[in-house]
Amino acid sequence: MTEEQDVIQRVLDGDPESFRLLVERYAGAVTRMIRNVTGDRHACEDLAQEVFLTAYAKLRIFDPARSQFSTWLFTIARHKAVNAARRRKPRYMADPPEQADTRNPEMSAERKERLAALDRALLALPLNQRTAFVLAEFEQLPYEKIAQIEGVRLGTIKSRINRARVKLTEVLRPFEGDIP
Amino acid sequence: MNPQEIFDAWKVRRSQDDVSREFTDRVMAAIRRRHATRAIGDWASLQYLAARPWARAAAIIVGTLLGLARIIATVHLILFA
Repeated sequence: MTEEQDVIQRVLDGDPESFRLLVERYAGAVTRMIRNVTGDRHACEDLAQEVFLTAYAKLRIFDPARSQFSTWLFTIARHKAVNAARRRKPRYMADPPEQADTRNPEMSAERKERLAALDRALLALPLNQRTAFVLAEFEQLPYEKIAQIEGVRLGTIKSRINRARVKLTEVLRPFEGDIP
Repeated sequence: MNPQEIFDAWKVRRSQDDVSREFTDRVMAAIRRRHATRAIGDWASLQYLAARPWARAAAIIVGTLLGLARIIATVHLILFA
């Protein structure tokens, strides 16, 4: 039995405090994934909390023979993130400002502009491409696992990620040659 | 910076964690609250049913029917097995 399965078994045996280990392990990844899919920096923690509460409530139906706990948890997170993204219009939430490059302020501004363009382009992607891209590029999940989370075939995932990548790199094309 | 460098920098920035330190405590508190509410809810619904004659009569009828079904099943097993 893996360490995670052991923790899950302890929770199922009536020790809810053991669930803390799973929350601590996956809080960052789940929150980040929701933030990147919804573009909402403020609501992502509330949604992530819902994800963990749902996982806790449904822990009895989790089947370790069918998937890893992280895959199952990301499936719940994806479902909630997609629903939230559909409910509200995606808003562009700028990340906290980076430290300005005082040696070359022009380059710093250009860089910010490019990063913001990529942020906007990510939120403009169709949801199925966005979730697949986020799971692959930011969470570094293998394609097989993403296919399981998205409930589609491996080829479909590869094609969605590829299309998302092409759209995002196209965003940077107008800037090419601006800065040496 | 070339586009690839910008793209990589953007990926690094988007991959950063910024979950608040009290997040886990909040989740665990919500789980404890849920437990407490469920326990109170179970006890309250039991009290609600026990205070109503129709609910008690229904419980007796259901129990009797289940008992009869069990007896019939046992007799059937003995006679026809």
